[in-house]
Amino acid sequence: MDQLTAELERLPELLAEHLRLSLSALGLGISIGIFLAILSTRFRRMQGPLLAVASVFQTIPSIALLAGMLLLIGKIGFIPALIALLFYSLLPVLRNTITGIENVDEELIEAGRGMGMTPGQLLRKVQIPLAFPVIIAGVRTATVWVVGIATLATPIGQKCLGEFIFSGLSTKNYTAVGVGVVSAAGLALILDGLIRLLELAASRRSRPLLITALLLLAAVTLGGLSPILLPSGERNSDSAIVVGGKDFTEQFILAEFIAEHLNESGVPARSLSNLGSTVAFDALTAGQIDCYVEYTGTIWSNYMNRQDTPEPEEALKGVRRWLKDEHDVELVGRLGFENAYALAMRGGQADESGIDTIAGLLPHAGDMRLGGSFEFFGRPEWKAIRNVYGLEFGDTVSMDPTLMYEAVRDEEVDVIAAFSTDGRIAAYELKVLDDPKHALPPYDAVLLVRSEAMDNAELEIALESLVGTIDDEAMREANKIVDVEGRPIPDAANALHEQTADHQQDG
Amino acid sequence: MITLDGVCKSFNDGDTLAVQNLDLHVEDGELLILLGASGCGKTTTLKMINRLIEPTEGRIEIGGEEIRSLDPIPLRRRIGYIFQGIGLFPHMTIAQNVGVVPRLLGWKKADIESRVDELLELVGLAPDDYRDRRPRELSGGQQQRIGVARALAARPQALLMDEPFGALDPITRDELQNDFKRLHAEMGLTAVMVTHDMTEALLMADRIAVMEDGQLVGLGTPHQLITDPPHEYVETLMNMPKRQADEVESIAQGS
Repeated sequence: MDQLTAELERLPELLAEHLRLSLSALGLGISIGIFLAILSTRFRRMQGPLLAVASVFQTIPSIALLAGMLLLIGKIGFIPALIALLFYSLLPVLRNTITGIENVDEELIEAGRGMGMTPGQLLRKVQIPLAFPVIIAGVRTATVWVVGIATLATPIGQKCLGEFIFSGLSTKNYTAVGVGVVSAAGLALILDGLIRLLELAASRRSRPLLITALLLLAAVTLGGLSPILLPSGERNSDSAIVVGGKDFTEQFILAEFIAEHLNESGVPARSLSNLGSTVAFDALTAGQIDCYVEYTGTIWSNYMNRQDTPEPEEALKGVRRWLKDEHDVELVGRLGFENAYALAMRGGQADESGIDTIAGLLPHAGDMRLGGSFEFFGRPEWKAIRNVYGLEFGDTVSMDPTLMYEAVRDEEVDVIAAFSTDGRIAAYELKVLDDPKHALPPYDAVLLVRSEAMDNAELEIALESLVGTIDDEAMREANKIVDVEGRPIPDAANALHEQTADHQQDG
Repeated sequence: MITLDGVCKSFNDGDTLAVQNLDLHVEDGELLILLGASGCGKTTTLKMINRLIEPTEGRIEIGGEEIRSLDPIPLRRRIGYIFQGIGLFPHMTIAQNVGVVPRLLGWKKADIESRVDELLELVGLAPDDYRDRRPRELSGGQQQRIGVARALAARPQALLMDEPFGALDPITRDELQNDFKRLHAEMGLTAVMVTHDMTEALLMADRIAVMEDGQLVGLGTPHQLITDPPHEYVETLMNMPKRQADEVESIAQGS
């Protein structure tokens, strides 16, 4: 129940942001769609290409379209989400408006022309009124789609109801998932119902019904948007430092923890988590977030596109120089822990078979199943493991990273490509296998900050005080609080806070 | 009133000649019927008069004005247009349908309302019963009565009718033909009507223009065309209703 209360506290703001995004996209999409459709009934040659383009956008998986907009526009947040959703709302409106207008009985068109209607009058008095139910059906489809798909704006940094779903799924907080799903579906149904009411009012030419529908729509809009429209002391000013976070538990905790730490140090800050894997880095270089925690190996192989596996010190030096030269980003320092890919298996089985290292897997791998995230099997690390050790597994299974620890515990797979700081490694008594040939690159957690933001001396001091304060054990404990014990993110952030406070006192 | 002078219409860049060198004159208050088989160019001719189709060559005048010098939109608003499809707007009430052209012309609301009632009376439908109904609640015959009322609403200079009674059952058609004839006589309407029905043409027309393959092959009163057909095709056409009448007569005689 407490968990539900905690989730519901976030609801007004996220609902408001979701509504703002959906209504803006729908407003623009519907206007542009109807305008283009009407234009194309005058210039019929436009129709084919127009519908083809709109259909192509529709076939692009929504999450890819959203990510694509991010690349095109080079910014995270509202604008790319708005544009992607606008394209989604376009097709149903466009297609229904064109179909509706084109399907008006030819005899009625002849009657209108014969009586001396101008093309505009014919459109207003005959074609649009007769096509109206079909057009509205398209608008309703667009509404339901857009409100649903808007949940996918979370990974590109736009606040919306998707935040419940994404963070809920990756931290196994199903209360949050439920709140997100129910509120998004409820919002879609309410908006759909109101449009239906508007249509009814129009077709019955009932003024009271029309006024009721418009009032309800205004109430839903204003009521829904009020948390972001009303000035509030809690709303962060634009000057606040934005601490970014990617889309898994450790990053949620770190973003929350760092933002809190900065606030306590007298630097106003807020966190913006749930950014897609490479979105966070782009957001940093675009100045939309000011700092976040990245891993040296990710920068080395993903952003610098290096194929080799460096020593940790060498990686740190190379990464630091590259960030400064290429992106004007400062690497503040190592936080003190490493979150590397590591092969892990059930401790009992490892002992029985006498397996300590990845090399030790060699005689058994042919009978074993390897589980890993979707991302892992596409990464250079997987290739490196196979090449360096000559490993071939009997079978490989892609799965959500949050599920693989249970999967290996429950013997559905035998080995997983784990993250070395995951709290479930200890909790499920898994054994992390050594990597004597250094096939896997180092993944030291490092704090990145935009050089510009570092002009703020207080920020610099506050960030530097974090260097070296979180070791593997501390991070694993914090992750465990969320992933194993099912407690909320702030609890884990607090645990880190106490731990580092001790650290700083010691030091 | 309406004059066609050397009017030609070709489609497909001159490959198809729909109307060839047509001269016609419609007198004030006259009901002229264009008669001919499907594809003879009669509907094309009719639609050229309100510029739904533009002639390739020739002049068309209405009330002494060359229509190509006129904007087609106001031109169509002063010419009533009735066609087989009727084309009542299903989303409008009967009153709104009848009032379309007056509304386009910007008449006052009260004027439109009284004109609508007047016209409903004229076509034999009680205004109080029909004003607020929708077209789909009316029978085919009632719908075409509304079509006639709608065409007459803005007191047009002339009336163009394209097989107006073609889709009606024989009894309703007979009723409407007679009612329209009375209306035409009472109001002194100038009208051009297209039909392929010989009997309808003979019974309704002041004069008939017979067309074949885009050309005018006969022009005269029904009496003239029956008694002295100017063309073989006209004679064939005119003999048909006569022969049918004779056959009906002999059936009635019981021989």
